[in-house]
Amino acid sequence: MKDVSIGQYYPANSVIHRLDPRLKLVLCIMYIVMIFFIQTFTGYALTAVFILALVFISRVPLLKVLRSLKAIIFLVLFTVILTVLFFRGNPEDLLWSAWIIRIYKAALINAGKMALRIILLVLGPTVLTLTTTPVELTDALERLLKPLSYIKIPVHELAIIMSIALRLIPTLVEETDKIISAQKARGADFESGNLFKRAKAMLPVLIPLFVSSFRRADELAYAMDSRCYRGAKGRTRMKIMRLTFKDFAAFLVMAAFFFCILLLRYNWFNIGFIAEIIARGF
Amino acid sequence: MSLIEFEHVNYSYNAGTESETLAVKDFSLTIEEGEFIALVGHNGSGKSTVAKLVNGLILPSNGTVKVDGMRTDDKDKLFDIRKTVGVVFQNPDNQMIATIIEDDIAFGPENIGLPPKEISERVDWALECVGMSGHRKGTPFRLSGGQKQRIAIAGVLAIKPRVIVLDESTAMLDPVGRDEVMKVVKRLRDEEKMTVIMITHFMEETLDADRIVVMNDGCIVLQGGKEIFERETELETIGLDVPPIKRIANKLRAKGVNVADGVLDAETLAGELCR
Ligand SMILES: Nc1ncnc2c1ncn2[C@@H]1O[C@H](COP(=O)(O)OP(=O)(O)O)[C@@H](O)[C@H]1O
Ligand SMILES: [Mg+2]
Repeated sequence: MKDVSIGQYYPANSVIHRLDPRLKLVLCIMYIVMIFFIQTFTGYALTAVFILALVFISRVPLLKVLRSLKAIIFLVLFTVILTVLFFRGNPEDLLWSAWIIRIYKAALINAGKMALRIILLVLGPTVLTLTTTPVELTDALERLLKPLSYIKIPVHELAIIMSIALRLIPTLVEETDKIISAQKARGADFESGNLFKRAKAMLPVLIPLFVSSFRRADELAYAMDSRCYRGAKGRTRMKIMRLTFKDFAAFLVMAAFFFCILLLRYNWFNIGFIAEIIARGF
Repeated sequence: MSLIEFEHVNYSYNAGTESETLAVKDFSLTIEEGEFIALVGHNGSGKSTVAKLVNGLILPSNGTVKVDGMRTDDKDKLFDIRKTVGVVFQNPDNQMIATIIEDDIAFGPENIGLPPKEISERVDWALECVGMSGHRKGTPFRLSGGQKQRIAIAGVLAIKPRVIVLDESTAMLDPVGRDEVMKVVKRLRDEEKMTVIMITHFMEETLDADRIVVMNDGCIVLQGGKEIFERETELETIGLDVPPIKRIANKLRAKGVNVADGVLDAETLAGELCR
């Protein structure tokens, strides 16, 4: 929990880690959009191979990547079960029925696709956050959205709020632990009783936490002022973000893959037959 | 012209309300370039208020504060004043802006608008000044209190101010951490020729100062070199202890032992006694 500030970042020395975070962000968005164009199992299979290759190149252990799926297992199961239960298809498609439950073949196919879609969707941002620190991400976001500041959207302010929030999380977690210990030492009971009782027991933790957060915010503001902070005005950055050859290469790979997916989907130049050959191969 | 001039400064918190507190009263003080000032006083005597007045974080209710001739109530000069005077506060946790040490130290120079290469050089320099060069890419969260406070000092140093104010920057540290920070402060004075205003309630920490300014209840009550330690009873009435060795020396003298004035460290005292 203490490491929220570095998120789930997995330090390693790979090309993917070293890509420009702005580009990674853009590629991740491209990837997510691409997922919504996929309609066939062939497409999903190709994407799975693609993302696994990325994981391999990033040198992040596969287990780490899969662990992030733990959070969505419930969502996937829920979606699958609901789809299977409530799907109503052709009677001749019916596989099995009992009481009011009817299971159709098309339902299973649909549910399978849905599950794959969710899983693949989550894997994209997962690879991004495993290979990019939250600080790099906020920085990238600030620089990418900079044009919006010309239409008076406070991009810099939002970015600094985000990075300060990231920076304060570990401090606040530590403080919460301290207050809980202090209240426990005075006989507070956080573990027993029903949900309502336990929530009420948290009140003596939340109030001091709140008060001290305001004090901290006040002091932090003084410290920032003392260090010549005056918003985005005249501010430069130490870290230069510059696109290099590898960034262009990465973009090309992603764009090419996206193009392949579109080819499969819309059967441009009548090459959809390739997909059928691949599908038969499976 | 002195580097810092306080002229009859008053400051009230919550002015105009029932809970109005006059924290600083008729405070006048001038500080020259290169001086090492120790500002002492017990809790609530108004030291932090003075620290916030120096670089215009708060503005005097009456009187003026000038830094290098610039008035702190002149909005156009505030940025230059803050480039001249850096303030390090008590709690290092509340001064960190970024999750990575180098990003945190770069914050000041970035605000000044320096080119990236120079920012990076300043980060290196500041880290070296506080003896933390190896930690550039690390996070501050796993460091000891003393190390965190040295990072906070580096964050201010990177702006290259001419004056550094340390507001009880050692108060939350253990003796080891306090020692680390004091060493850094002395180095800044000796090698970087910086003007230092060290705010503290530990009298031991005033021993290296050129001038000691004692505050009580928002006013300056005593001011001078180490000779002010001779006025032990006066200091005690306002809740301050003289440094322990001095206290022993004074007690011995009261008992009729012949100890010279101005003994402040254990070795000199031992020498005096063996004479
Ligand atoms: N933010 C504030 N609001 C109201 N009163 C304050 C505030 N900060 C300090 N004071 C009061 O001003 C006086 C001086 O405080 P301060 O300058 O923090 O003293 P010191 O740093 O010497 O402990 C104290 O009486 C304190 O209660
Ligand atoms: Mg104080």
